[in-house]
Amino acid sequence: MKNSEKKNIWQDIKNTWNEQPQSEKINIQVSQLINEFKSKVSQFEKDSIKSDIANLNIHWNKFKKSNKINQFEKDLIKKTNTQNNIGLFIGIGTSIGISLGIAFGSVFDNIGLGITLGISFGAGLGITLWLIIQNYK
Amino acid sequence: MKDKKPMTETFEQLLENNKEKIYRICKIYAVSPLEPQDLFQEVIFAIWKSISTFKGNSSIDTWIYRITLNVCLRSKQKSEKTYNKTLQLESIQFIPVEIPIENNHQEKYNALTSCISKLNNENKSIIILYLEELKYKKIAEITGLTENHIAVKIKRIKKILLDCITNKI
Repeated sequence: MKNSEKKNIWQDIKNTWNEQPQSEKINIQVSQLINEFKSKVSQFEKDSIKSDIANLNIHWNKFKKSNKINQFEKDLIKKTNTQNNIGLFIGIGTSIGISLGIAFGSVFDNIGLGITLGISFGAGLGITLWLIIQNYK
Repeated sequence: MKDKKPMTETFEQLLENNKEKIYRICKIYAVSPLEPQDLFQEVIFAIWKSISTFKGNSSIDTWIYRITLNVCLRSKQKSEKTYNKTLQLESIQFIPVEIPIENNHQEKYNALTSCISKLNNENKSIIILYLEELKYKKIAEITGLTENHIAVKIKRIKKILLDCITNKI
């Protein structure tokens, strides 16, 4: 088939497509159409919100029933407890104090006195650190 | 609020200028139980929803074709279940018109649409845009393919379509 023939055939096909028989006339009332669209959209939004709330309720009820606390919350509670625990600070301070006391006691040939002073110093250090952390919280 | 009237006018003009071509495309993609009229309403709704986002980066024609094809392609995924949820708009009416009987033209048209329907979705979109007399550059813009790719594809599709039509007429 020659190129010109092909071209004619395709022009004919294009005409068939573009001049296709109109079996229906489309009549659009634009202002009424926009109102209809708006009402459909707002209904859609209402439905979405309703479904979101329903979903939230289901998940909240499940959460309450299972009484589950997530890992983040657990870590946070642990961290808070550690910071609040004055005993832990005194303990850590005392350990440091005893170590220092033994070291100084050995140097001055009086380990007993060194340990005693170390305990007092360590406990004081622990309390001081705890107070500082409380002020910064 | 003061932009409300011009917006309505623009939308009205847009629909008036494009409704026939949108409907032409809907008639190809509408597969039972979805009717071309339902698909047409979906397309108009999609245009209305996105008209405020049209930035003029492409021509309005290109934009309309893109939305129409997107909605039509998505409609294929609609099942019987979702069919009931299609829009029912009272403000769009399809008034039957008596058409003069031109057997030859009708026969050609039926053969053409039947052959287009047999193509896959991508080829269908490309040949529709070609029949709408769009340049390769615009077809490439709408479909996201390169111009060269479009040229090659159109050549192949035309051959398939011509063979199919010749067998039918």
